[in-house]
Amino acid sequence: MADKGSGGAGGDWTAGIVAIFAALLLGSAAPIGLYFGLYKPKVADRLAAEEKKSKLMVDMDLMLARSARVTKLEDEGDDMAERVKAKEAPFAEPDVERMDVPEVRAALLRLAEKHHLSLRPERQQQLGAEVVYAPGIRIQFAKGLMATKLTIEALAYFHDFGRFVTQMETLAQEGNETAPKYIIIPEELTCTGDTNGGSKHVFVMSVYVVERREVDTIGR
Amino acid sequence: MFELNLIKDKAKARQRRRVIFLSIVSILLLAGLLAIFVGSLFWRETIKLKQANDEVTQISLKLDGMRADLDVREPAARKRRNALIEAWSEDVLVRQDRPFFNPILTDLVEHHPPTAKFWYNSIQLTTNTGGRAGDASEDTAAATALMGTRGLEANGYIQIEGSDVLTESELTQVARQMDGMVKLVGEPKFSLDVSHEIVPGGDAEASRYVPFTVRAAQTQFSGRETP
Repeated sequence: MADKGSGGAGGDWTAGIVAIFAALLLGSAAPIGLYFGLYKPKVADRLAAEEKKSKLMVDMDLMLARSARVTKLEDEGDDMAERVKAKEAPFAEPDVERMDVPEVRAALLRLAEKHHLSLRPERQQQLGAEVVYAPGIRIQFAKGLMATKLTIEALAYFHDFGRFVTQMETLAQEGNETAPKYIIIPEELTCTGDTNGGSKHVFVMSVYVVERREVDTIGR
Repeated sequence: MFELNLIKDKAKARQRRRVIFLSIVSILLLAGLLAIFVGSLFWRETIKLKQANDEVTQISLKLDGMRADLDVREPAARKRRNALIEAWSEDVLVRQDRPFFNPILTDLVEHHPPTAKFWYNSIQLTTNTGGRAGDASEDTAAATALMGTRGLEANGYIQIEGSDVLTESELTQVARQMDGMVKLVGEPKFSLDVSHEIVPGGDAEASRYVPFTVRAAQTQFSGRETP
């Protein structure tokens, strides 16, 4: 019986150790399974997401630099617009519909009167005839600048017409004699002497008046 | 004795079972704690991943928005700035390079041979469309010609009291003094038409009126001969 008793104790221990071992295996399976099955893939996903984020941050830095360049371009555009406006300040206001530059025509008529330029004999009987008139011609420069034609037909002394041309080409702003008021470019001139031996001659001159641009629409 | 041993064996067996039970419970407890720890790590990673994904989504959206915005703004800004620079350059050129007629008219009045009198019958200044205008498009040819050189043709009479050769030499000297004219129309060339001279009173040695022509640049006027 004593042998039986000691044999039973050994069997209990064996069963117990097996049970403990089984518990150890089963117990460790849960954390190990969680670690490798869930935690590790999640870490890999997080690292991939962080890598993607850092790549996007590099892209964002590049995009911010590009944005700064675009802002600089826009600022340069605004600066150039101001400079163009300043440069074109003496240019005439365009009248696109009438193909006319009324304020320049009026200024030239005043100038013609000041220098005693009169109508040609054959035009003196015409209704509404004036020394300066707009034939309705407008030309375009290569980069969009426009100019309207004015024609001057007059009977005058040479010295009067010479002074008229001088003042017309450097028509100064009132109160600012150094700044030009309008940009007037002479195109053609025909002077015909008086065949009767008189001192007054016929002058036919065409000029182009350079017009101000709509600066806000340039390049848009 | 037998009963005593039996009691002792039962007690030992109970103790063995208790030890085994406690061991198993301890192992399971530790395993549970470890599982909870790993679970907490997993949860923390889940939260971090969610945050990272949210940030990635936000940055992606922001980047896409900025890219779309800049793709529109950049070409427009570049186009406008370049067009404005071109406009400004054109303004400067038109103001600086525009031709003036005043120097030509002044030259015609001020420069005469000292030994002869001058009368002009006609003076013509026209645009020279044969040069730069050829490079321009049809729309801008007129403007290009307007900013280009001019052609000049003037004719009249000159009263000569001495030698024709001497007067022609003086006219050549005069032409070189016409700086304003040289700039716009080139150096003028004077030519005398002695075959059509008018001799008042019939005394050619005293004084005579000789037709002359002055031409400059390449412009050819219709119906007239060029020298």
